[in-house]
Amino acid sequence: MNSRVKIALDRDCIHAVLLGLPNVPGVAAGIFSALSERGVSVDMITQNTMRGGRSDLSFLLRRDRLEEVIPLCREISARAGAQGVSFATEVAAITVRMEVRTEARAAEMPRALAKIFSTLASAGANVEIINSTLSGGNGAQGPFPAESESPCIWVTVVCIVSLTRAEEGLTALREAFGVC
Amino acid sequence: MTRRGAVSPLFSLKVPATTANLGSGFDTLGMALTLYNIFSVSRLLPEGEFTCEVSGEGMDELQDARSNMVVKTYLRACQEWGLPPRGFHLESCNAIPLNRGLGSSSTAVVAGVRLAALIAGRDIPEAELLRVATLIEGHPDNVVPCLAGGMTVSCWDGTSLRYVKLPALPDDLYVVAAVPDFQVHTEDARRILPESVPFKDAVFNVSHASLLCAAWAMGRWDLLRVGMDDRLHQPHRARLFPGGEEILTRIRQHPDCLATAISGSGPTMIAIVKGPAGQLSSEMCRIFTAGGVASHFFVLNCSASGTVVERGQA
Repeated sequence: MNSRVKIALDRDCIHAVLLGLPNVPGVAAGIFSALSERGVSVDMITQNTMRGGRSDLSFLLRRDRLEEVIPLCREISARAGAQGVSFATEVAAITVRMEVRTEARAAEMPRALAKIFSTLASAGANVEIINSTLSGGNGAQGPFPAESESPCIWVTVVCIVSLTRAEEGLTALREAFGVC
Repeated sequence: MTRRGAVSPLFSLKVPATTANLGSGFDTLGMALTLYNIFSVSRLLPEGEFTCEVSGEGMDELQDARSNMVVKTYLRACQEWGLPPRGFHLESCNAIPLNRGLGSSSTAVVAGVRLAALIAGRDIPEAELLRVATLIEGHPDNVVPCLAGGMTVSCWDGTSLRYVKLPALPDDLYVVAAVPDFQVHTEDARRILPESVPFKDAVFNVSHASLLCAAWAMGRWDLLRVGMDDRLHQPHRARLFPGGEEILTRIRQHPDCLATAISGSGPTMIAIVKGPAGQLSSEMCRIFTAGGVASHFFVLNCSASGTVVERGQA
C-alpha cells in the first residue's frame, strides 16, 4: 500500500472546546490573537458547523500549561460571547504519517484511512476527533500547485482517543502497518 | 448575536446551567452557573404551529416540536395564564450536557414560561413565572436559580413557592463540574431513594443545610465542606455511577477544595474550589476514567444574573 509509515503517541495534550461561539467575522482572530499573546501553542484546530448562527471551536493545548490555559480560555470564551468552554484531560493524540504515491492517492487514501480507524476500533480505542492533512508531492493539492518533484505525498492523520486506550491503539496500529 | 445578514430574532434567551441540592439542601438549594443554553424565537407562527431547530447537545433527540420541552412548557404556561398560544419558530443552541445533573431540562422549562409572557406582551412578575415553572418541573431547586440567578433557597409545598436569593459565590471561587460520558435520568435517581429516613439523619440534614445557608449568607466559605455534608440522597446516589463515592470522599481532601457534591441527581460531580482548578479537575476526571468512564470538565463561576432576555426588532 504505502512505502513509509510513522506512528507516534502524544500523551501530553489536553482538548479544549469553546462552545457556541457567535458565527461572525473576527471571533477566531480574537481567540488566536489572545492565545498567541500569551505564547500558548495550539494544535489541531477544528470548527464544527452548527445551526443557529453558532459554532464550536476546539483545539489541543499542552498539558504542562493546564493551570495557565484554563483561566485564559475562560476569559477568551466570555469575551467572544461563547456559551461556555469545556476541557478534556483524559485524552491522547495518535498520529499516523504515511507516504503515498501521488498517482495512487485516490485509491490508497480511503483504504489507508479505513485501516487506521478499523485498527483503532478493534483495539477498543474510540476516536473522538479526527484531523487529516496532506503535504509535499508533485500533484496539486486543492487550489495549490505541486510543492515538490517527489512522486509521493505525506498523509498525516491525527486521532484523539481516550488516554486509557491510547497505548493499545498505538500497539495495534504499529502491528497493522508493520512499524517497529 | 446572529450571522452577518441573518434576521435578528424577536427574542433571545440566555439561560444558565444550574447545580441543585448542593449536598444537604435536597430539593431546596441551587446555584446558577456560567454555562448557557440559548433559545431564540425568530418568527411567530399561527396559533398551535411550532417548528424547532436544535444544535449542540441533544440535537438528535430534541428536534421534534411536538415533544420539545420548551414548546410543551410554553403551552402549559399559556393555559395557566389564559393566553393565546401563538406558534413560533424556535432555535435552541444547547451547550449544557443533557441528563447529567446540570439543569438542562430546567433551562427549557424556564425558557418556555418566559416566552409565554414575552410573546403575549404580558409583564408577569418573577415570583409568578417561578410558581408556574416549579409546578411544571415538580421541584424548585433548578428553575429558581435558573431564572433568578445566584444561589437560591426555595420552599415549595406543591402549590405555593417561597424563595430567597443569597449573595453569589465570589468570582475567585470556582465550581468545577466533572461530567462523565453517560446519562442518569432524574426518575431513576429518585427511585433509588428510601421511602423514609431515620430521625437522626433528618436532624443531621436540617442542621447541615441550615449551617450551609448561614455560612453562605455570611461569606464563611470555610464552613462549606461541613455544611454540604448529606445523609438523605448522596450516600444512595453516589453508588449509581462509578467514581461518585470516591470523588465525594477523596477530592474534598484536596487543599484547594472547599466542598464536593453530586450535581442534582448526577452523574456530574461538582467541587467548589479556591485557587487553580486544573489539577483538581484532572483528578476528578482520572477517577471517572479509573471507573471505566470517559469525562470532561467545566470550570465555572456562579451566574448572578440568571436568565437574560434580549429583544430584537419586531
